[in-house]
Amino acid sequence: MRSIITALATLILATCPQPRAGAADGAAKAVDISKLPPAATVTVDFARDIQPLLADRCVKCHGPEKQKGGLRLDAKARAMQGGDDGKIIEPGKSAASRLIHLVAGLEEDTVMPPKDKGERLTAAQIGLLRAWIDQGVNWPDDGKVARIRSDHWSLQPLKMPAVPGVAGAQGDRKAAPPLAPIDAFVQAKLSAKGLALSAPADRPTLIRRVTFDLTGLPPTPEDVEAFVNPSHPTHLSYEALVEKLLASPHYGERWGRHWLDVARYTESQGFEYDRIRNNAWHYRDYVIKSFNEDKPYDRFMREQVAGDVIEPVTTDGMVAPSLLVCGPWDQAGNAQANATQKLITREDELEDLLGVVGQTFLGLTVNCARCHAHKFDPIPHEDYYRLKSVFEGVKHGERTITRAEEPREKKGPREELEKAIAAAEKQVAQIEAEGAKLATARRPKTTPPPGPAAFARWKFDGTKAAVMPGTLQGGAEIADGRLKLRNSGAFFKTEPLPKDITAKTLEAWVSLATLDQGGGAAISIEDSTGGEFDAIVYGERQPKKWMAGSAAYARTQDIAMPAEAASLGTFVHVAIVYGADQTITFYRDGKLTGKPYKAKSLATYKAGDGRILLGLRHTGAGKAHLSGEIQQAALYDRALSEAEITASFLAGGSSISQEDILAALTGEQRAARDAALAGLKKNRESLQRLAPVKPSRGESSYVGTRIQPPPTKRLLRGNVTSPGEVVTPGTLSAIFELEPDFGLPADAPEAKRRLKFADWLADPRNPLPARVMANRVWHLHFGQGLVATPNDFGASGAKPSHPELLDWMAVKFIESGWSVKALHRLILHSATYRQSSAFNGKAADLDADNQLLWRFTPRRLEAEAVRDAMLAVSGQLNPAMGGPSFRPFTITEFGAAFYHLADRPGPEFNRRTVYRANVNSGKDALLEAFDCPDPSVKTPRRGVTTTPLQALELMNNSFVQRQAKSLAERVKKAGGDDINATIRSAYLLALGRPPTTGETARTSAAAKERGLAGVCWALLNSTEFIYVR
Amino acid sequence: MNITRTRRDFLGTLGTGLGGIALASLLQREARASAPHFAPKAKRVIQLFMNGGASQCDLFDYKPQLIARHGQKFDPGGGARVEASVSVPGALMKCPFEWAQHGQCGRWVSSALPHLARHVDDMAFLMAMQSASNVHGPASYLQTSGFVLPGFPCAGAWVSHALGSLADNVPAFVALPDARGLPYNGRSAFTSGFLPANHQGTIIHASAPQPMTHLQPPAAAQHITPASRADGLALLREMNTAHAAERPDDSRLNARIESYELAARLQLSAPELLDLAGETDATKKLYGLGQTETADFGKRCLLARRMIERGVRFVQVWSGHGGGADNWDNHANIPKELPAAARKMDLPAAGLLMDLKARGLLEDTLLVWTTEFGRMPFTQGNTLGRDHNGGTFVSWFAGAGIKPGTALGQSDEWSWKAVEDVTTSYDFHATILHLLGINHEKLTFRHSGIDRRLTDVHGHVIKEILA
Repeated sequence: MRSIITALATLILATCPQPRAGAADGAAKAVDISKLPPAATVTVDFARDIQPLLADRCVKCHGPEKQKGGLRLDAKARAMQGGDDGKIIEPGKSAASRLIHLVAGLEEDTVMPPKDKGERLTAAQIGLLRAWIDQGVNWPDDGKVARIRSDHWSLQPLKMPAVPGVAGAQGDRKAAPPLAPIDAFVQAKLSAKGLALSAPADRPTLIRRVTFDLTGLPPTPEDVEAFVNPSHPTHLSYEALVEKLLASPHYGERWGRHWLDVARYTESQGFEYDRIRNNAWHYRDYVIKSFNEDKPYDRFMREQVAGDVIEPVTTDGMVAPSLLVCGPWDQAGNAQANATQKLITREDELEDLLGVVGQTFLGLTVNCARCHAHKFDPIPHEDYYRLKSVFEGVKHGERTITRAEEPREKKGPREELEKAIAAAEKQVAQIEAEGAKLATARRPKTTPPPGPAAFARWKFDGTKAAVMPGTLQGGAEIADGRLKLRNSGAFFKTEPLPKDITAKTLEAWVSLATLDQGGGAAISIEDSTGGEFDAIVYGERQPKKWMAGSAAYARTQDIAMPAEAASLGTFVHVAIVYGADQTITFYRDGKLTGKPYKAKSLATYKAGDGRILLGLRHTGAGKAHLSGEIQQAALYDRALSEAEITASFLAGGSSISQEDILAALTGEQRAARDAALAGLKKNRESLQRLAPVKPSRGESSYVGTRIQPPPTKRLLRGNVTSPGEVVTPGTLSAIFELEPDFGLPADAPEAKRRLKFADWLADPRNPLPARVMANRVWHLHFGQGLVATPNDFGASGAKPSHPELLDWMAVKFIESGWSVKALHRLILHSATYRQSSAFNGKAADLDADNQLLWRFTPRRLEAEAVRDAMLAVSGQLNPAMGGPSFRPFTITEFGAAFYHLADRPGPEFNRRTVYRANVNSGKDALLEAFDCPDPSVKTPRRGVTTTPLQALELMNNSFVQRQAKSLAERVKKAGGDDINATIRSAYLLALGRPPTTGETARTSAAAKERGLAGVCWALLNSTEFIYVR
Repeated sequence: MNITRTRRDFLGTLGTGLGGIALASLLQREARASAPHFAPKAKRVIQLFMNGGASQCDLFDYKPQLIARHGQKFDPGGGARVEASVSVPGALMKCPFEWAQHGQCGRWVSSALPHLARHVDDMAFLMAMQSASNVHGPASYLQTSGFVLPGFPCAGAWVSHALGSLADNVPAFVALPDARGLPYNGRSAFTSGFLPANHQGTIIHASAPQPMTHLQPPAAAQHITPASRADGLALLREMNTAHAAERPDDSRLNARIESYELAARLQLSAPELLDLAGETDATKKLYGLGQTETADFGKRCLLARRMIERGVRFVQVWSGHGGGADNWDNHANIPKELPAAARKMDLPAAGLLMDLKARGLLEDTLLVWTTEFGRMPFTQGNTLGRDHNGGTFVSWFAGAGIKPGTALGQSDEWSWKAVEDVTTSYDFHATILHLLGINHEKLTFRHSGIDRRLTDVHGHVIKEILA
């Protein structure tokens, strides 16, 4: 629970729920020490005499779960610091130690343990405690505090639950097909109450429901017709409809908006000045694009906390962490002269940041632990500050981003070229493979001697790496027995080293996609942060030459060698030997190349920390990706000799030389290969011309700036004027399966801290992110989550209505590679989602809120969907995606920014609502009336109100009136002089169904008397239009 | 197309079945959280908010020491650090206006407020309020919503949530911003935060041609005539009634129908509410309507009275807007800037107090005068202005349940920091809720896993100023 901003000590004393006034200077309090029991005379054994006592009587309130008075007695370091009121242990002076006074009851109003919390200590026990203190507080300590496993449901490890065996719908049990897992979970709960799922919804209802649900727009009359009418030429199955909608770019606009609610995305500062942020929209586009691409959710999370560290070269990487700063920012508070108040402003800012990270990804109100341990959840006070240390380098503001987005007119041709290139590559590879086969067959039967045994070797022909397995990153692929690194961002990363590596040899067989590239590495060994590395790097300091790349060029020298001239598709063998005497030697195709040189150092890569990368120079590097293919790579835990390198080359992947292969080809094959290569060259050149190779620099976005912060201190009671001990970067200790300490020093680079947090966050053993996201998706499909509090999975949040179902979805989600679209499919394909919304009195008596899902709950459209649907129906929707927001207002600046709303017609203003500038004090009255949230508020769940103001907006807002008029003009065109056809067209567009005879009669009469616009207005105001059933 | 519709011929259900049902209850049920927790003293609240930080030491907080040490460097002693918000602290500056004691209670008021000074015997002063912030944005949020960060419902929204309005043709919470513009934090100063949107303050621009947004059809929509409007509404009602009739289980659908009825009633009642023609000349004069300086604030004070008479629960009248000047944020020149702000407010506020009293409305109406923070006892650099001071400021209450002629709390000898019987926004809000019959610890709303309150985890009812 967030507490008071602790500017003024007097204010705190006056208003804290448990004021500590009068108890201030702890040990200084006058007590009568003559009443103390004498110290024991034995030599005290901490483990035997003291620890059990502390554990039994103290730690429950002063330990990992609670830290009453800011005190912990479960680890030496914290115990020695004391609590909010100061030290309680004075080594060697038990009579002066407040701990002893308290347990002995010397302080009039305070006795420990308190009456209702535990038994008082005996005189003998106090004597032991005294002796322990007098003997110098012997307390073996590893510096770590104890962790206990919480038994709270959401913190338990994810396990795939058994799907209940349930009969299908009531009645014909045997004939019913087995239920899909989701339905089985839901039906199991329903059956327990004697209920069942409702019958399937009819197709017109279903298409309207699922279309709004996935795109936020109504289905067109043509869509409805094709879906409802089985003999329609483009008739779609339900599953095909779902796929079509998931593939629509409108999907990302709809679900991106949902995400922006949680991200508290705003395009103005808020507070007093509320100045507009001209360049915040990149994040909105990033989110929409990510949903449309079905970006794996683990990557989506990682990018939003540390994208600028993981992928500083891509727009996505730079823009994604906007999440951290896209909320309110107090310009006046930051600019003021009062230093204390300025610190408080910064602490408020960080609380907002930690709040959004904690609630969005973890469903935990981490921010409640700013002033004291979390009241309900196992989040100790220091966890808040360890987490704060992770993000303390993040500040509000704009930064330059590279924008690699390509214009639409380039995208089509690019994809064509890429297709052609891939096909030609495949053709060449096939021909060469045949040639290789022939060459091998022709070769004398003597096989070359085996090369030296590697410590770890990576092949991509299905052979498994026994020592250090790895994963494909950023679109890297394995095909044709090779690791293919086509797009910038692709590489291969192994798991940590199983042992320390000092002297070493790196080697790889690599084929470069183009000789003109630079900066990428064939193979690299690095530490887990990428801050230390050694790599075989191509074309970085000298074009077309190899070198031994290293962190800050510490071990790098330019090596004299001819420019690389390997023909396309040919594999080059490169190897670098790092001798124990710090000599570095480079080999190409098994031959010594350039002169060996002595480096100034030799790096050791630690077991459990170091790792190998293929295709990337080092983590966090810019311009560091190799474009091409790798056939084989190896790491040796020693320096190989020249003879060994040669042997390795001969035994390795391309020991059949290019010449041998070409010689083995038939004339026809050779001609085909040459043609393919020529085409490949041409296409590659065209692609080069087309692709935005040089991203436009100099464009800014509100992605936040970075500083290297001073070490973070815990603030006692959250008070900036009461700094406590220094904490190191870390995360929530409540996730028991993972190590909360990042092993980083308090002054670790801020980028490293966020990288570590990203790894922790996306670790599949962290049970919260998958549970939280699965629940969000469910919540948005059904209007109610399995957990009713999507941002709070803590003890004060709601309990899951279907815990096994939630876990089943979460596990499936991770198994699918964190595919959000896969999650949609699971839900949308279920009978639970497809059931009718018809009312059932019996079921309602037992479960009025439909928690058990005996029907689909009808829902009112959200504000954006109301507005967008009006535009779609009136034919005025401008589907242009992305880019700067439209601004239906003017701004005047007079100290602060003032927004004067103006309803403006025109295509720019008829874009989807997600592209409206989302400013704090320039909110749209129509949207606001339909519960569009305050931009700066984290909104996991939209409100649904029905108010007279809403009616007034629908009646009198000029936007609504204009859409009614446009709809009238649109259907007039369609119906011509036939009023019945006109009315029919209006109904089909607005409601997705034709009017009844009675409705036609009534509305055509109304249209004749007062005009069509009035009828269209009524349709756009109708409950049927505003609700999805 | 082959879509089977069940009975959907709404000609058959024209306007039936709903007339006699009190549908208002549907909306009310949605709107209200809880009844009062105990018998209220006040039924409604008018809050006068001095935007910018009204200078306590130039209005109410009389300090002989400040006069005695005028021009000296400020040293509070004890090594205390003196910091100002946007400037380097200058020398101590006495109040440039005359001080005098007023009323039976002998309360000090400066000559900047000659009209309000006559009514100190009706008021109860909080002389030592303190704010956790000295920046307009957060401090205004704190004093309107109980939190320094955006996104929390303001007091009016909480009251709307708890009690609703007293009549169903007016909103529960109305904000009357200064004619020159919105206060700091813009529309967020009247936000319902995470409470349902219907609790947000309805903004009335008293001097604008269209005082309420979208109360009437847009001027450009010439095809809309009163007759076509009525026909359109009738058609809509039929559509929605037929739709709802098929789904008798869903009360929300009837609530939608009712919302249009209420909107229509609002349309009818608003012009009458805003029309001051029926007020006597004497009343208008009482509020200063005839004078340029006081006309705007006076009109809004008079509207506030008309609103509470018609059932609005919580009316907020703002003095000054959020810009850099023309409000209470007197950084540059107290002798010049403050009287200008004070003259606009003083007479109308006194007029409102007298009028409420004369009409018996003060019996069950709470009148509150406040601001977001105070100002420094020393000058802002070399100017004659004063910088922000969260350390101490003054608010006063009058009317229902208040012990008149009292004062609680004291600042130090310079009016720099509150030192005795310090009160905060939490106490301030707890007291307002208390007078409305609401226990501030029980008025909660679950948001993001926390049972939120207007008073966070703090707040004490200020018993000392209660009758």
